[in-house]
Amino acid sequence: MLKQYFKQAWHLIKQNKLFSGIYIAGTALGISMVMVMAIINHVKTANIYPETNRDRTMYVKSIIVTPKDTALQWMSSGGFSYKSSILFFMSLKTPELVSLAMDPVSKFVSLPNDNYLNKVQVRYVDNHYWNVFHFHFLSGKPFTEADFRSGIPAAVISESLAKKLYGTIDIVGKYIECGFKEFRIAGVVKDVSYVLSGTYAQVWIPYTTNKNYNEEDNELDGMIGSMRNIYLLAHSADDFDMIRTEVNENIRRYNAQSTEWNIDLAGQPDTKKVEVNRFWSNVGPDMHKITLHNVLLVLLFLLVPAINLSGLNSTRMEQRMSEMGVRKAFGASRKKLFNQIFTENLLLTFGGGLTGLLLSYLFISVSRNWILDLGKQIADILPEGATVDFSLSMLFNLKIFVAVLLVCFVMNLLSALIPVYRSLRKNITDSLHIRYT
Amino acid sequence: MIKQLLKQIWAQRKQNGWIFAELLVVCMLMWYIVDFCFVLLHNKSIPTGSDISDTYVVTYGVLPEENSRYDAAESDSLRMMQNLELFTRKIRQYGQVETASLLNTGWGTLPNSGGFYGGVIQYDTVNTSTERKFISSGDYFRIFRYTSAMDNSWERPAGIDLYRDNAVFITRMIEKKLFGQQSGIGKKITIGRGDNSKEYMVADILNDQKRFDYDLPAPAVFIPAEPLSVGNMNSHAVCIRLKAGTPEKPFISGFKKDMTPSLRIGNLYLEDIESMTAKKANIEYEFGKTNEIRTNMIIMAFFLLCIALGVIGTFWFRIASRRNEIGVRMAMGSTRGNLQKQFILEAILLLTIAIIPAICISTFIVQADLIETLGKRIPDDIYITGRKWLRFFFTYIITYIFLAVIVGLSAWIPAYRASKIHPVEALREE
Repeated sequence: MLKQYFKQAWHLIKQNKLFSGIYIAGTALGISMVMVMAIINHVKTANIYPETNRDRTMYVKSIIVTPKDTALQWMSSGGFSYKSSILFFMSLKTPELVSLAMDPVSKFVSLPNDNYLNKVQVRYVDNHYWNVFHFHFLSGKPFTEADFRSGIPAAVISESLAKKLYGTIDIVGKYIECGFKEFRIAGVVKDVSYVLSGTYAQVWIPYTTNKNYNEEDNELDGMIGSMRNIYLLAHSADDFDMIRTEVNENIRRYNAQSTEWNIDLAGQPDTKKVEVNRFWSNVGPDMHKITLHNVLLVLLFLLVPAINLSGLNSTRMEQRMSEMGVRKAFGASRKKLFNQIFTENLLLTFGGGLTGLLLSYLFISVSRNWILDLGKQIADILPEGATVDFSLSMLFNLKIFVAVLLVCFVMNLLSALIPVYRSLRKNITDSLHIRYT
Repeated sequence: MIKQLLKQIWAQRKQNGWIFAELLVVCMLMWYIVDFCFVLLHNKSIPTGSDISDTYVVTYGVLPEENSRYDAAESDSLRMMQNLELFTRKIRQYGQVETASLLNTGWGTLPNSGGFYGGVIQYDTVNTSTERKFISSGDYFRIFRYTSAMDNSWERPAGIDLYRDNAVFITRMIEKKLFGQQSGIGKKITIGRGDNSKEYMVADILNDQKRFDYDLPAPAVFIPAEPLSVGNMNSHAVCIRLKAGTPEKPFISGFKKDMTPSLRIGNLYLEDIESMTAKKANIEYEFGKTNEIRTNMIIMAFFLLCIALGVIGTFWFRIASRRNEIGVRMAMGSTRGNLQKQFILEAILLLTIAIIPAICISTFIVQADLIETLGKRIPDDIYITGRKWLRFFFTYIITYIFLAVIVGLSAWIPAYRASKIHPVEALREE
């Protein structure tokens, strides 16, 4: 039976090339936009090298300090100081690991005493960083805890930088100059695509080599500083609530003791989904609004082409009315006819879905340098020499295919259900009566 | 003709209903984007007040003590200042450079800067808030060419020494606010509040300036900057203006290649050179403006394609099913042009019917202040963008014309094909 449906449907599609063409193009248009959104969302939040622990990591980026004296109408916000990050996070019991890192900076890197300078992105991190993120070491290994504690200038560099400077990756123990200071190379890691802009860098060095990492000024109890990335790696996502409670307890205790200041984290620690929408240090993202916005956009992207297709379907059903009438007169049940037309549509929709998916890949490849920044209130400029390469595993995966199928099905329902149902409800005599050219 | 077309549309209401619904939704979305573009283009058409073409910023760095080439003898403040002067002089002597000067660039002093330093400016009892720009020399005006409102020249502000009588320049906007119809030149004003306030004399009025190309003009006051010292050398850079029309890319790569070795002076090194136009593009990207424009353009393209496909599809089938009618009309002496015109008009009429409820719904949305950029953040109603309903009227007219062109074109494609057939052939199907 099913085979019969498909055979018939295929013939009809071939017969009506224009209809099929417009139908497929219309479907593809809607599906491609939704797929672009789905892929962006996947790339931003799923576990992808080297951020393979996103689903069990919580993120804290900023701290707000307000004076207890309510007559003073101001607040100050920014990254954590070394002091405040230790105070609030190092004592946490639930997380498996806590890692601190500063925001990336752009620095000159060269061979020692060489005049040829490369401008690269450098990250100041700690030794736990290498456990929160799973970098693939091509040679050597991360700098050790002992290195880190004593501020020994050791660096992990990316494969492409290693090749550019030395022509090889077997350079553990050799030296580079970074920001005009010498560092011993501890390890070489596989390059990170700028798609993962949260971990992208070419050089990673211990923040303890930055001589003023733990010097705070005395203002605001030394709470604000340059630790803008705090990672709390949980054993599993189930622990998130417990971590939140623990962090809030630390904050509460500080606020109770301090006579001068109140601390607020504006809803942090964040899951990855929230973290990608947090742009300001003084106010958290309105997730309800963002979700609503995205849902509306998806609906529009599906609905407008669906109205189109409904119109087309209804015109065509009008044309096929006499065919339906004849088939009904020979005993075809309404259900059978409905299934037949529905299959026909589904086939067309899947054609559209596949085209749409290809279109979305094309779109992403053309716009890859900026597509991930759409919708950001504050965007970062692509660092010199960085590439935004979407790997195959980011684009082809089960989650995305399931999404396509789902979207296709919704689209099909939206566009075929009403016109087909309406036209099939007509009386046989009515259908037979209509002579449409 | 119109009446007949209306009848036609009504007779086919079942299929027209779908395209009508789509047009209704798209009209409203389109209007939102047209309004966005309208404001953007309107704001961009207002002069920025400065001229950043052919201007560049050269930044320097200082070697850290750990570096093997660090020279302790070069690190005292006297040597440092001499080296900075030499650094600037070498750039001034480089080919194509017209003016080069070591200027304060901190806190949004450069045009299109991401930084901003606000403050209050007061005369008598009237005060207003303004942006402050810190000027270290008349070269600032020679390079960035903010112009005087007196004679529209940059030479005039460039020739006045702000340090001599504690002078400042204010923009026309501030003058109007503080002094009304009177001239502000020579008047004493106060900048800042309380203990931090300081008195200055207004030396000249400058034309209004904008912080960003896509914004409206905003008030600014040009104050003498704190003189250069080792303490504030991080907020200084060498600003240059090149001879007009020097191409950017070859200049930058040539400059880096030629100057990197010779600008290693004492502990100084050449960090970067960037054109102000590139800086401007970067800041627009960082502030999300570029992305906002792109998002709107993508959405617009999407919905226009949808509309085009919808109209082409619907009209194709309709025209196919009315071939006999076409044949009759042609036999009766209707020309091909007439026929095409009729279908195009039918489509545009359909759009006209759909845009009426769209306008009603949009009116409601605007009335309810649901759109942030319309009605909420309005700075001044001297601009058309500040007058809510006038702007609404204009943008809807633009939307209508724009959509009419798309819809008309989409209807014309099948109509053109249909009108090509021979009347005999069309009639045979009767």
